[in-house]
Amino acid sequence: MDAITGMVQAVASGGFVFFGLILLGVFVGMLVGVLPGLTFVIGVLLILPFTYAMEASQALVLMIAVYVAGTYGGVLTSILLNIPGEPNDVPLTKDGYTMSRQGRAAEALGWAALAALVGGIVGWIALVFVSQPFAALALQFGSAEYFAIILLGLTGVLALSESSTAKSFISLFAGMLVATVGIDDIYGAVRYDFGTDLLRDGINYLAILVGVYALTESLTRFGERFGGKVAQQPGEVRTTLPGLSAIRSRAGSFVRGTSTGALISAGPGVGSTVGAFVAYGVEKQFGRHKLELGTGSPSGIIAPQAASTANVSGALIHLLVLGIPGSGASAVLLGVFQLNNISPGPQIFGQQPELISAIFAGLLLSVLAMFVMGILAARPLIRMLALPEVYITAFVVLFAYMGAFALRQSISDVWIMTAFGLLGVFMVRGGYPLAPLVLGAILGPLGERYFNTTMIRTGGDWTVFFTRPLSAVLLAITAATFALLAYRTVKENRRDRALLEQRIAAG
Amino acid sequence: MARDDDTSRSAAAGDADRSAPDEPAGAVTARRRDEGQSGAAASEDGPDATKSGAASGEPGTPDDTEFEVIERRSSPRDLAAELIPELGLIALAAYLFYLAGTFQNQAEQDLLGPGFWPRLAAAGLIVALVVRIVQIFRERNRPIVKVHSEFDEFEETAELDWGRTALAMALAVAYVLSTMFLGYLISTALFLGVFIWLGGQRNRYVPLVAIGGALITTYVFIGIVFVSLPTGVGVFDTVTVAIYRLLGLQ
Amino acid sequence: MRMGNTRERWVAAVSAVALGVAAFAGCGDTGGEKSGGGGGGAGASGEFKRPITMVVPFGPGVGSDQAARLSAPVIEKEIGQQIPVVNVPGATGNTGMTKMLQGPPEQSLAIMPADTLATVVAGTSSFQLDEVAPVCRISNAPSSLWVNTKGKYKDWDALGKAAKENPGEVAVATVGKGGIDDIALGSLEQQGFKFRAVPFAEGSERKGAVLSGDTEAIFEQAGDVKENVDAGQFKPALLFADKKQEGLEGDYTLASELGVEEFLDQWRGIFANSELAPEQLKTLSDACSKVEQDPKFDEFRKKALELEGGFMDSEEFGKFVKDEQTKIKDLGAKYGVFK
Repeated sequence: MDAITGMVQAVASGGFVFFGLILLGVFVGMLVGVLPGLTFVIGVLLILPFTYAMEASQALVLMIAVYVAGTYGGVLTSILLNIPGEPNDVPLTKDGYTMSRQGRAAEALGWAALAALVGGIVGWIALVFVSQPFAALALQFGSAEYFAIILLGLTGVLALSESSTAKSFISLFAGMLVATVGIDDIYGAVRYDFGTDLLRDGINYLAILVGVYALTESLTRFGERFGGKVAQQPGEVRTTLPGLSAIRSRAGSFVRGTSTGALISAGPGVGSTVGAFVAYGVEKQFGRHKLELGTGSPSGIIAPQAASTANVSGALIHLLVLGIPGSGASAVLLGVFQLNNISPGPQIFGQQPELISAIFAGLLLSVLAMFVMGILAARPLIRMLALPEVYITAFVVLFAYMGAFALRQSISDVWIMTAFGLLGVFMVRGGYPLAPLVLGAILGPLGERYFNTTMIRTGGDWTVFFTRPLSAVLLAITAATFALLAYRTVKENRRDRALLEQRIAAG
Repeated sequence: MARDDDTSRSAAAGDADRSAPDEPAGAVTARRRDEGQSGAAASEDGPDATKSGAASGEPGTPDDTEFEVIERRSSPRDLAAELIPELGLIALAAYLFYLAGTFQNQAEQDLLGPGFWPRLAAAGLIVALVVRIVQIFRERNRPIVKVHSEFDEFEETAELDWGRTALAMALAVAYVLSTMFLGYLISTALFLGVFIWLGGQRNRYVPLVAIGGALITTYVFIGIVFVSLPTGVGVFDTVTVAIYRLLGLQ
Repeated sequence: MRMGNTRERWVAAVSAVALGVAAFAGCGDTGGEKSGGGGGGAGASGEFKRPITMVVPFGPGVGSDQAARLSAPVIEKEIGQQIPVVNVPGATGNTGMTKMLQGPPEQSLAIMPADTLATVVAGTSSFQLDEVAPVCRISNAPSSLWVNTKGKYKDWDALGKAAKENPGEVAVATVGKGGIDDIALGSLEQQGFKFRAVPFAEGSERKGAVLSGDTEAIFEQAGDVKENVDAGQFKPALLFADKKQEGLEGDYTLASELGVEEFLDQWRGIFANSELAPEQLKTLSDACSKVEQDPKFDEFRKKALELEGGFMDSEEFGKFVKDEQTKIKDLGAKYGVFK
């Protein structure tokens, strides 16, 4: 009850500004979903410079609105044009576009909107009811536990990477190494400054994020001559919400999608894309309509979309309770907290109840606004596709500049951002994944901090990580993830060899 | 965003096999398509396996896997192109590992010190790079098996033109550099114009968008977000500040 | 296609040349602008012709930020120029101080706490003390040790006893190695109380460590743990001073009672670039003296449990900073904090 009273107060005190920010955020989120090349991670990065002048709660609500709407906006192009607007839209595109070709586009959009709504609201309920008890528990976590959580997160990033394991490791360690530049916060030692003020001040991971996501994407799109994603304007854009009996027959898909999305996001490093793919897999395995998947089945839209949106709440629980971001978008949110000198973590629930209420209220209103805007604004949003991409890309470069500059009002961060933007181009070209670099840069310093603290606290006793029960369990899960990773690599190599022999045998 | 095409893919383009015109250029394909409902087909692999004559005694090899084999023969030049960045990184990591031992430590009595974590990361990087180099050598003349998934069609396929990419990178660097001298406002107008023009949009609206975009973002970021953007030096500072006045800023 | 390409190159070349020429022209002008602009004549009269940016080298909301935002309007009124406040956090204040020094001297100010001075002494700062000119000190508060009200040791007697019996086993959460915290703990070690300092860079982690039982106590100034005290989580155990502090309740012990004689307080002051004209420095110092009497600032001071009479003018503060620097250096060496 307290939670609800708090939220009502937050909305009331925020007034029109609060609603305005949510509408703006949802619009931007849907827009980046629709526009080719712009993911919702880029979306939150682009809105970042605008939040510097805002209060923490306003900035966070705006970002959450972009984030949550970003998991949904891409369905429009996926269903209508067979272009997944976001990576997490890939699984639903198959059924969505097939429905569209069958003349059932309006129906498909309706299912997607409803799935996003249900996933969002169920996720929100989980956020409101799970985060506080979880925070009470997390208050007992010491630095050993936090270190184990970070280690699990880093392993998760590797396990989920599609690239070769060696390349993922290289990217990850490079990120960790880069993040050690500057004055370290435990010993006050200057590391890798090479005599320059620019490096002595350290490398803000937000500059890295803006560089490798926003700038790299802009440069490669320019390099690709903006090709490959030619979109025609679809004929009619309409949304028809499904009837009650239809919903009842698909209820299982909603439940499976939402729970998959919410549960899987409990693992650090698991974003909406993984959630959507896993939900699609679950649907294909266990769904009542599993045989129609791929042939224009609403279930093939519902499950991944509900999972994508529900995933946002999971990421928020992680971020708010532990102060550890699991994905690119929540890392940007962490950056906003830090820029406002607020450290998310278990104590935040006791010390900043207004902020927490504002976030809760903001997420719920964003989900609702997303649902309404998804139905009403689909047409104008799709129209934006007619704008030549180079205009958008040019402004992305501009906002990348601004996002980096405004971090510390310094051109140094712009140079760092630019350097990483260029590095990102080479990495993409060489098949190196970017996510491990970014998460290595974000989680690396946290891991170092917790590790060193634990060591100093215990006087160098390594066994503490294994004797504290929770830490031991987390490390066991980490080891299991590693084993799985190794097993998968071996299995894939074996499969490739078998397939090769098969081909040779076939002539 | 699966953007993991290996560099080797383009290397294979040299010995293109024209027999498969529907495939990406150069890929020598040996795939068996199973266009039906893949979900239903997944469970029955028995009869198919014998038909294809595959050596599928291997456990866990789903026989109906769609795949292609990309032949390639790496020339020494390709190999060098792959190895040089990796070797360079090893040298860098080794140097950083060495440097980490020299960090000034205020608190002598502590066990790990500020160099421990950087050393860990540098060592990890070196090991991963060595593994990668071994892989490059082992795989250099081996065909690549590319297994298709049902979501392949959404992989980004646009060709990256290196000349264009280099141009974009140069523009980005020139932009940041020029803001230090010309100030944000003037540089941004120039950058927008040049970038959009070179990006293929050549119409009379481009200068309008460039100047308008620079003015609007300047107004928003200085007037509303309070970012103290670079105003440039010398005469550019004067001009920029004069325009700020016209915009009603400061 | 070929047409397009040629034209493209042409445009690229022209724009590159244009940028280059412009940049060159800009470079040539730099010197002239710096010496001629703003300063000079205006400086001698002690007046300010342009708005002055006040850098807070920490994030919004913390003590330094509040102090800066409350003093800026008072100084604004006195000197007749606007003083926008910007936050430039990072590296215990060093990032912000560097930023301030990069700006034109007559348009730049920064607020700086004792912790940042300690980095200068430790040799990890990105600026030197002679690059900055002390304008005024605006606040001062003693450091203190706090314990968890539900923790193992509920007051100094229990905490100190444990530290004496198990030297180096009782953990105290501190800001970082080689800072004022370590010096204060060193002074306790001298008296036979050997604690283990466990550094946490972020305030919330530091507090979390005490709440989770990771450490037994925390080193902070009263204003920064006020929330936790109000919530009944923390209580004061030891105050690094020789007299009780007004407004600080609870039965805490004074470090002077343990035999500690020298204390390093947590002060904050406003600094300018040392290239600022002396007349202008005087103007600022005079304006700053009004801050102390400002009712809003006084309210903040009381709430943050800062000592009364923390103000010092430019001259006095300059001497103080020099003494403080020597004191940090000597005490640091004495207690083995600095090598």
